[in-house]
Amino acid sequence: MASNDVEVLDPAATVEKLKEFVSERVLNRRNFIAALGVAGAAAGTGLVSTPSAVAQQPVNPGGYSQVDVLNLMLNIKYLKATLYSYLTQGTDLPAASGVTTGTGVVLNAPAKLTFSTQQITDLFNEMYYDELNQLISLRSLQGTAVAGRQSVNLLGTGLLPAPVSLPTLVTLTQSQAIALARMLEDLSAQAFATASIYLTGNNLAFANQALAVDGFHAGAIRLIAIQTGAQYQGTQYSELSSTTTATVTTFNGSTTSGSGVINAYFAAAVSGVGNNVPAVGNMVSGVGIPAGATITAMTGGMPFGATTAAGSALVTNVSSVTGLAAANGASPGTTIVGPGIPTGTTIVTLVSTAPFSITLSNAATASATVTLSGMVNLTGITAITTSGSPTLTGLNKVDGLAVGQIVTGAGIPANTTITAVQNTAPFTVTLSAKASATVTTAVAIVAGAGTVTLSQNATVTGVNTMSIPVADNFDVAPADIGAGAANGPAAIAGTSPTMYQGFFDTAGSATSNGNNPPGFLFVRTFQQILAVLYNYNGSTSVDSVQNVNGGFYPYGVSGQITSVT
Amino acid sequence: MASNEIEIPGSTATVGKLKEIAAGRALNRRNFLAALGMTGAAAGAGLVGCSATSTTAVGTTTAGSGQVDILNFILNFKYLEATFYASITTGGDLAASATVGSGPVTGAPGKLTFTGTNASQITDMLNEIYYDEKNHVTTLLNLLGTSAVSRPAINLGAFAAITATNALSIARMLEDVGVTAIAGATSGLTTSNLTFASQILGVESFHAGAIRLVSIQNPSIAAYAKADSLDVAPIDLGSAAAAAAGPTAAGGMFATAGSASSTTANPKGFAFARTTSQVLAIAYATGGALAASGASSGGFFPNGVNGVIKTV
Repeated sequence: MASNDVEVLDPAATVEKLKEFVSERVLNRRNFIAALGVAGAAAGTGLVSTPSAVAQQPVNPGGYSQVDVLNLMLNIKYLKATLYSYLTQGTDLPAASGVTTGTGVVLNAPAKLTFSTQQITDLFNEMYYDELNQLISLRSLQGTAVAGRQSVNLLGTGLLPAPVSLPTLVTLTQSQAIALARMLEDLSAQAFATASIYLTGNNLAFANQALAVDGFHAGAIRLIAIQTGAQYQGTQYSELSSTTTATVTTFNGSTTSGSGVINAYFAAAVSGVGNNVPAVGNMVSGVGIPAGATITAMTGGMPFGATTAAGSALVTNVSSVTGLAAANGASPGTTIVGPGIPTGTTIVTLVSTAPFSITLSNAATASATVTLSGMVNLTGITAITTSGSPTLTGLNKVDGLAVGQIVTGAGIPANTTITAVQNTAPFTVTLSAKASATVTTAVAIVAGAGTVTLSQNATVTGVNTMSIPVADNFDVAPADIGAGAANGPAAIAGTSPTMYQGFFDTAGSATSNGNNPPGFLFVRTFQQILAVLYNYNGSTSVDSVQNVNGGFYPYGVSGQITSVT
Repeated sequence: MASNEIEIPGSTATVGKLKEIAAGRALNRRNFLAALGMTGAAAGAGLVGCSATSTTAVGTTTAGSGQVDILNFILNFKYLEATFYASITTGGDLAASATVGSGPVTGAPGKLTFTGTNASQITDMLNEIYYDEKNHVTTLLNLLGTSAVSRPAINLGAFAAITATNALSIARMLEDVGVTAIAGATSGLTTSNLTFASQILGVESFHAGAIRLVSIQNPSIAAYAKADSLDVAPIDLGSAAAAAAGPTAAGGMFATAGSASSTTANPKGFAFARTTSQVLAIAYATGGALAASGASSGGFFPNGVNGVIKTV
């Protein structure tokens, strides 16, 4: 860690890490004094608006040069300005402004967005004005030391699968655009607040004037998010975990306006680690899902890892029991499918506290470590199988069907999975195995699907990708919490891990600490900021652990401060 | 350990001990500030020496002031804001323990009831702003320790008798001016003083951004009261093309410099930074007229602000 970073100590911090922290603190003081006595005056005098100020910008007490700090800030400005340029103008930043000199490519640029009101349109346009002009001035301030815009992925999905054909334009909804802008503005304000301690003179003045504008934007866009019911877009950074980052969990599902029930497709769509597997208490984000909505109940079959033993009905090393149910005497438990599991097998008993295990109605036929799935009855879907063909035709609907799900039905071999779904008429489903007969069958049961019931009703009807935001105590979801607002940001009821909400991204009584008192903007270390930029949604990168690239910057940020570690 | 000692952890240091040292960093900040104030100008002068020149370079007038003085200057305005929001959201005043002494508060309107579009949202937002502001006061008092100034006499009705139909106007003005005051003052701060001030700046601008938008959405209860020539009226310029060209003389969504108002120190798209004199001229304004050079009281502060920086 750089010497003057504001580090929040992890409860599990090691002696070595803490020693490093403390010894750095000692060094910081020495550097600070040295800077005051020696470099201080020089630092103060020359930092005016001369563009070629490189030699005049000394290393500040923190160990980072001011040029490097400002270049890191520029990376965030590039990201926001480019995003707003596409959203409001439908194109990249103007070449004539000079800010794209030496630029990389822009991936997943959104098409120009038609906002629901003139006010929101104008707000985004004025944010575009601010960000573009700040880029121009900050670049001028940096002079020849300025870092150019690296390749950016405006959706934070890292490297795109080859071959990439540019431009890679995408369509964002207003909800997504507001959510993304909100997250980036809050992050930018935090970054500039952290940066200030490394800066002096004009660099400091400009940085704090930019910080103020980030706060303007954040304050307004958070209110717009609340007023429009925009979804929540998290930072995908968790200081709660033992690692600095966490991978976002996503799943596909169909929402119905006015209903809190999502028909979710878990199979092959669930990713994530640790406590980020969907579970009751998780907050859910997605198009048409109000910020702060949490999972109150789940049914169905999320795939889970397990160990089977030939001749035994006991299944051990079960990785997750979410959505599974045991027989209760009146009805069978959840039907289980997977390798070595006889057709029609159901759960008899379920141990739902770790270590999880289940006892089945039939013994397994093989000893193996396998992926099993609970089954859910998706009623009302019929299809025609054709002997010798892997394609289901004549489907009346494909709601709830997704690639990776196990399908059952007359004429369909055991453990057959869906490999493709055509969700426009005429509907078809392609299977992993050929049908054994030509029949009209009820595709009544599939694995890997289920329902997710939310604490709030969806506002749109449609099929979208949902995500489980990573709990980040430094990020407050925009919300009007009613009379409780007088007590500052509050925990979102039912969330596990706990997440927080409020009008502003400030510390509350539960999230404050010595570095972030109640009512104060949070500061993040540069490493924490880079972790957000690189690990935005656990996307692919050149660097497999995404220490130096990934997410919004698939090839890393430009400048000298580039590493999470 | 004494507050300003440097402790070198031994090889046998435990996790608990090391955590204790690390956690003490925040406390050390307070002690550091206290040391600045208590050991006199010598400590302060050394710190200001490097900031004074750069301060001049960016056009602020905190040169010559110590960090304690600058933080106390900010504290005065935090007192004003916190007292304002305490009155309009609770009908009461800040707790006595939150002000380390206080002059009289006049013009307090009592708890206000907002009506109209998004009335409950406005009420809730102002409540959360009050939470932030009173905590800013608390933290600044802790940071300054015995060097903290008490709350000066405050006249909340300096601009006009506060009602539910003009409270947003005053809140908007206070927040926008607060942003520029802190943006101007930070050039005289270093180390954790600077970080805390920057964090407050961020929150102040959160408030300003939200209140400006609410003001645009509720013009009937948010008439614009121009603070000075740097003030930007909160308006929606009405078209994408106009908004993309930035604020004009008529105003803008945000209080940033536009093509016509930008300067070297306040480039286009940046927030303005006001000198302490410019801030005090607004704070001491009477009857809509900015306080003149040399003024040391008036307006919101009938007896002047407390601390060293108090004259226009």
